Amino acid sequence: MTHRYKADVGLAARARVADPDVSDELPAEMHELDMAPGTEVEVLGHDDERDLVLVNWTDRNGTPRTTSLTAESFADDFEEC
Amino acid sequence: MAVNTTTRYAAAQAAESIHLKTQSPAAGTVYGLLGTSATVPTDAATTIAETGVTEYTATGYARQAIAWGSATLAKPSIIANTGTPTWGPFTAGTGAIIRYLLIVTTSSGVGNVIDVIQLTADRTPATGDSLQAAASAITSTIA
Repeated sequence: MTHRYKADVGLAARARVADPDVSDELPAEMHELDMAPGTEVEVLGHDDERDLVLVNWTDRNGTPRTTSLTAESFADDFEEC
Repeated sequence: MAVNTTTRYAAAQAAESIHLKTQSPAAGTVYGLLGTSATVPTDAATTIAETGVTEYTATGYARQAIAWGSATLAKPSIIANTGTPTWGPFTAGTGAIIRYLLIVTTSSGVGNVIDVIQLTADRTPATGDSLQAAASAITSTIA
């Protein structure tokens, strides 16, 4: 099933802002590797050991990626296409 | 990325295949598992658990599929990755030192292990970072 990342900032950029231990600014090279708003993902499965949702997606450079998300993040930040 | 050591699982698989004792498995996908500095994984292993590796656990992390070019027709023969496998972005729970890359047969959970590779330099991603391997940076050598 396909879902779309619906937040208005990238996944990494938002996590960066929420972490008080690092600079808010995401370096340019990391911005390039971020999951951009509007990215479509396919649910791959569930990581039972860590209780995380696994999703497949393709980044700006065309590289296929797998990323783990908390169930809360997946429910709040992604919508069914 | 540093030179690998193939595991005993890989050695046995290769020996049985090239001596036509068994049919080689069909083409499939193998995955890159990141290991932390907490433990030193051994190549005297068949399963991921037997290596003793401590897998990286930050949110955002997942094992990445690794694609390979053709092996060189040489002794030793070397096979290297194509594309740029990229882990992350890591969105929480960072801080652990990443020191190892294991080539394994499963995208999560239990599985077999093919290579144990120590990175040329430790990596400690911060929240929001991704970790990327360049094309041909991951190599596996079979003498």
